[in-house]
Amino acid sequence: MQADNTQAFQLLKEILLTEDRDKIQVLEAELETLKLSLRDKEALIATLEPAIADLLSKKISDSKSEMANALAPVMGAAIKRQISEAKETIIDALYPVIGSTIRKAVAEAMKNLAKTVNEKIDQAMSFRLFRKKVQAKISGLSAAEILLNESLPFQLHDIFYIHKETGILLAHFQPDTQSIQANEELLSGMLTAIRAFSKSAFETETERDLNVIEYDDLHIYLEDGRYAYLAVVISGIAPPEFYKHIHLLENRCHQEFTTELRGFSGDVTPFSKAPGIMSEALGFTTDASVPTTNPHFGRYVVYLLFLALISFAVYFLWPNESTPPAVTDTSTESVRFNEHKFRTYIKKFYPQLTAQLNSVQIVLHDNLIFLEGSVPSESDALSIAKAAAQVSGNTVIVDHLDYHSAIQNYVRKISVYFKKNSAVIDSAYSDLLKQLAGHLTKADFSLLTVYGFSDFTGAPDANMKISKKRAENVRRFLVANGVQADKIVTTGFGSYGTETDISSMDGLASKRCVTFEVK
Amino acid sequence: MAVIKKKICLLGSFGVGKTSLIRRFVLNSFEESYLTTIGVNISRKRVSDSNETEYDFLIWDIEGHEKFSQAIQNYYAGSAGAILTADLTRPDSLTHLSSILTRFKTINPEASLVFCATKSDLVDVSAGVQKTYTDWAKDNKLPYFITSAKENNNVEESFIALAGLL
Ligand SMILES: Nc1nc2c(ncn2[C@@H]2O[C@H](COP(=O)(O)OP(=O)(O)O)[C@@H](O)[C@H]2O)c(=O)[nH]1
Ligand SMILES: [Mg+2]
Repeated sequence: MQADNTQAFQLLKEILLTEDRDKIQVLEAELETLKLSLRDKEALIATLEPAIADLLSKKISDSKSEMANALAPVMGAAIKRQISEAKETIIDALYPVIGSTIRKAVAEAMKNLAKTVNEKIDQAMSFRLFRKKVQAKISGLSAAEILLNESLPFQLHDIFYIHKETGILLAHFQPDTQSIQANEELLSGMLTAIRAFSKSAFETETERDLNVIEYDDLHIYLEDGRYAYLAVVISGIAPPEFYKHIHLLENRCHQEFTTELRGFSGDVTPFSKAPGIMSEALGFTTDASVPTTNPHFGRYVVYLLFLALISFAVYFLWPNESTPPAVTDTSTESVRFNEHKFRTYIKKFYPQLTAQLNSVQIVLHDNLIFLEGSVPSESDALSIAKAAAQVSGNTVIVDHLDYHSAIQNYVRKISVYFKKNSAVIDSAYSDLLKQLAGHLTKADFSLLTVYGFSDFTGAPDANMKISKKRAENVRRFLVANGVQADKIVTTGFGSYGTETDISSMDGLASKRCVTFEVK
Repeated sequence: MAVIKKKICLLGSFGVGKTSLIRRFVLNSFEESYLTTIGVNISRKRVSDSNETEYDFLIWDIEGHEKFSQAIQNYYAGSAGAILTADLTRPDSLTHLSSILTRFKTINPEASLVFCATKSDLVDVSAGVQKTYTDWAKDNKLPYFITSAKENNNVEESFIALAGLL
């Protein structure tokens, strides 16, 4: 079965990438046309300026994203001066967003492809299990990512609150009560299985969790919690704020139901108030018959416009004096990337980023270099991308260079183990914890939760006590090393469950630990 | 009285008749459309035990116990119970079941278990073919049933027995 899956994904990857390549060729051709029309700098300035002014006036730069903040002033200033002179700056500002543009094109291709893919899958016996169109899309799987979908408008269909371990549906919220009730229990179970599957299947590649699943025309967005997760079914493109609300909603549900979730044994009655919380949190009126409209729709159109503008700007990235313009060359010759040179370059110009390179993958595809992985901050992503572009003289796509969750990933991997009956932090961990404290003081996070655990020998309340104490001691250590005290909370779990890898240490010892989660 | 939802796993080697058991038990609500690439099929059925507790069973039909992958481990997680199956026509399926049981127990030490020897219609039960199987069940202190999905023998009984153990 495992072999089948690998094959299946391989084949799917191939199918997708083939189309992807075609699409990129089309894109390149378009860019070539654009490039010609853009040679006339006067005309270009005339074309771009009103659009930019419009965008700025609509306060696109208000978006919390570092990218937008950086881009708007740079673009504005640059165009007012001479565009050619400001090229470097524009490139700097644009790196993080190029991925989105390409992905948008890819998204379109993927959509058109869906039919073909499914047909192929139906034919291939090795795909027999794929055939019902549950297309799990694993982030980090390939550069062919659907980030955007052009089927406007955005609509929220369902929110499922699902118990993580069992896949049992705890609560279901539907803003539009007219919708047909599918077999929600089975859907919840299958989502959970898909998550479990993707976790294990891609464990060796990247440490990313599945966060979007495509199901027919719907996107199922998954917001992970400690005991339960939200599966949010939407169509169209959600405004960026929407995801923030979903994130907050998960926190809220977690807080509301912590006790019930911890002791969950199949009784879902306590969760009957969850839909109300969801409705309230997302600002739906109590009158459920009011159709769902998207309050951000107008804003979203602006966002699309913005992307369109970016695709103009992409032009600047291709013709680089030091290299033949990749745009005009539609041959299939692949770009070569000298990794050694790249590393040397980083070492020389960005020595502080050398360590980050381990978590960055370089994927070459046709004339493009894709960077994937995670780094601590957006500016690091930008620096690495810039270095890659310098070294290769080629376009670099910052696709999935995830900087938001870098600290989350980092923190998730840390465990501190304790001796039996002891809550004293072993000196072997002080470097690790100091390093953690160092990262935390620099990172942008709202809350660090320190979870304490014990092994399952001994009395439960003694276990609970010592697990709490372990967490508390670690918290104290972090605070002593500069982490803001009010940003750390502790929880003791006694011997109840751990998230540590039991296979790597002897069973009991691995349970006496402290783990972390950052939000 | 609230309905209690429970995750139940069907455990056993390839081809022993897990899917057929579930098909027989769940009948009308069998969801073939959920056969997926990921090796799990989930079905659902209400069951009441003798004390009239209403259970909502979410039955995980898991393929590929042969390779104890991380995925299988994740699928086992959170099960309140399991039905263990071995094929009366294939003694090797019983040997294999022992190792499956061990793995399952490391993940769900508290889960309730029932053993089903399957395909009784294919063997001569009067000749005592099932003895190795029932002995195995006794050794492992498991309630057991000699079942046939084809002839609808003891299928529902197995699930109800499991409900009674939860
Ligand atoms: N005669 C007979 N055949 C059965 C019975 N249960 C399953 N089978 C057959 O055994 C094969 C495997 O069954 P299946 O349910 O797919 O096994 P699974 O791999 O454990 O899910 C199929 O050909 C079934 O028709 C049974 O009770 N009697
Ligand atoms: Mg089967």
